[in-house]
Amino acid sequence: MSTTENKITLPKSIKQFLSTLSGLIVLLIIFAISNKNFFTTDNILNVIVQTTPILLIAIGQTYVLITGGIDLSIGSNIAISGVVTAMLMKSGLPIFLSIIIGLLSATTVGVANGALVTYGKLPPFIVTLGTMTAVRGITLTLTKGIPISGLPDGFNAIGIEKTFGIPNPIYIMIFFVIIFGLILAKTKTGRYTYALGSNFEASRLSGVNVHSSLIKVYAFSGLLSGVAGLVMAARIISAPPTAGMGYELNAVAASVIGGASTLGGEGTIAGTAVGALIIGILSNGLNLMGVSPFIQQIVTGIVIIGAVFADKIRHND
Amino acid sequence: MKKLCSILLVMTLILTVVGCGKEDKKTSSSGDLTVTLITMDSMDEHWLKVKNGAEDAAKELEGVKINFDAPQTKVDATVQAQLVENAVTNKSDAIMLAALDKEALKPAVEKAKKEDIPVIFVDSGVNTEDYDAFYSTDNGAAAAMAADHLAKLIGEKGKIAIVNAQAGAGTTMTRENEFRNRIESTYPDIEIVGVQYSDGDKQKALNYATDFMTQYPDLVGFYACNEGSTVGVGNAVDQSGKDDSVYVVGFDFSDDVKALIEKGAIKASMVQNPYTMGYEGVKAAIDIINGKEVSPKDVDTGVTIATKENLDEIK
Repeated sequence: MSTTENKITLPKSIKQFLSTLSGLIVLLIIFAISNKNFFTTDNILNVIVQTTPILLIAIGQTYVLITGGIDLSIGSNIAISGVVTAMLMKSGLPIFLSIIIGLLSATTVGVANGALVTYGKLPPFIVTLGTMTAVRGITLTLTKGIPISGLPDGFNAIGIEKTFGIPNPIYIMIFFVIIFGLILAKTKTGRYTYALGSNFEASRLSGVNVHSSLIKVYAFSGLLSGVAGLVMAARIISAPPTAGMGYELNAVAASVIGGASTLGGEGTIAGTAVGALIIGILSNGLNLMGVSPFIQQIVTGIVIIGAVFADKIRHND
Repeated sequence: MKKLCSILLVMTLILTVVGCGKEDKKTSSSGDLTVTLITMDSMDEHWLKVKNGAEDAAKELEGVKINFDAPQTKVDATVQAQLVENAVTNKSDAIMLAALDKEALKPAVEKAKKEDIPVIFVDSGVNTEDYDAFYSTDNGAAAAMAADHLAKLIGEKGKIAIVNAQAGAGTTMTRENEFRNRIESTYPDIEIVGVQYSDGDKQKALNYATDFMTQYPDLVGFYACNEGSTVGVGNAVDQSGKDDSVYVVGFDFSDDVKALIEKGAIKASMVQNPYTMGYEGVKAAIDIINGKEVSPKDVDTGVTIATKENLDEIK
């Protein structure tokens, strides 16, 4: 998985990852014992498919958190890529081209976020709060508030069909985990991402191009939200303008459970992936146990705080 | 100073954008009656159908103009109250209102009545006796119909699950509770195994429905309480290849719902008649302006059960 060469984070990030992983394993054991339907191939594949959108956006959110920022526009980006792609396909453009333009629209929002943060010197929270609101308005305007439905079968295959018995969204998810895991762990872009969050001023003085690095990070988050939006639209064969509302905070939860810090400088893609799976498995396992949805919210909240709290205790050791 | 300049510049920009997006409101030519229709938002298909009904009635009556208005964002009762007050200020001849909040809209409605402006509620009313007519869906009765329909489909026995929208939202909770009451009182062999709340998010509804089917392999039916939940549940059943063993009865109508009914993934959906609300509301408004009593004051505009057989007739 992600053994980083990075001197700042190597021992700590591995420790962090192992503790997140052990949390996941404990959950798996509890649910496997308590419910005979949980540990079936169908259900496990199903949980991974259910978790895929959250996992994809959490990768982008992790990059942003590492730089010390936050991306609140993720949910709106999910909607814009789905809506733009759906509208273009309906107008007769080839599926592949529609997808490219849909992903570009979400990536463009990311670039705008990065540019406003770095050139405008504005707080990421405020910038992405603004784009979250404006982009949601754009999706509602484009669709007049009505979901775009009746998408072509070739597109729906992304969300519904299986290849070699594995649902397609899982391949998409694995592809992006590997790509962005490698970028963060093995490349200059990844090292700069950590450097920006650890010490912005020092990075700037030591010759890191902080502007382009930040823009890249927010663009990644935009692109990944776009991918999640397409997977989601293909699963329900419809692109609602309200898709993804509130998902940005699920992404934060997955990232921090996986060991990212909202203060910047920390986080790994492998950890985030496990964090997202913990959230997904928690929801699925509690559903199968027949736990009331209200109690589920309480449990999820406690897990988020508990994970970060455990991390803090380890820090002080 | 520099700051002031930049603020002014931004304001100018915003006003330009807003100015471009606004259509000029035509002032009514003299002699026309103006009916102001205020809905919960201006985008949901449901409200657009109310508006269509109102406009068609106005066309028929001649000499009647519809002023359509709604808050820009959802669930903003404060803004909606301001819209009602504006209609009073502009001396609208009648006001049709789909109230976002039973209490928050009360003062504005009372103000209108003080000015002797007729107030007609469509879809959702306000906690007051001081109104002229109320056209809405009896959601409780519709939910009981849905329960009967689903019971018939599954042979009055077996396990079913409910996927609702928001926990605590008035309309959809009525739909859940009255469905539950009907099942518990009339069909002792049907067991409701659980309920989940999707927030109207199709993705979440899909996930919850899939989990229900995993947990209860012998599940025979689903009841979904709104458009988003219905589409999510329909897709879940369709994607697990259980169209013929798990029966879905839902609520509301859209192109997505229609496609799933055609496929056979959804067996029936309870469709309200928003068009009728708008149409009858305007007719009542004009009657009241002309001094006629509307009786009865409260009218259930009913639901149509959309199935594969009558799909073409559903508006």
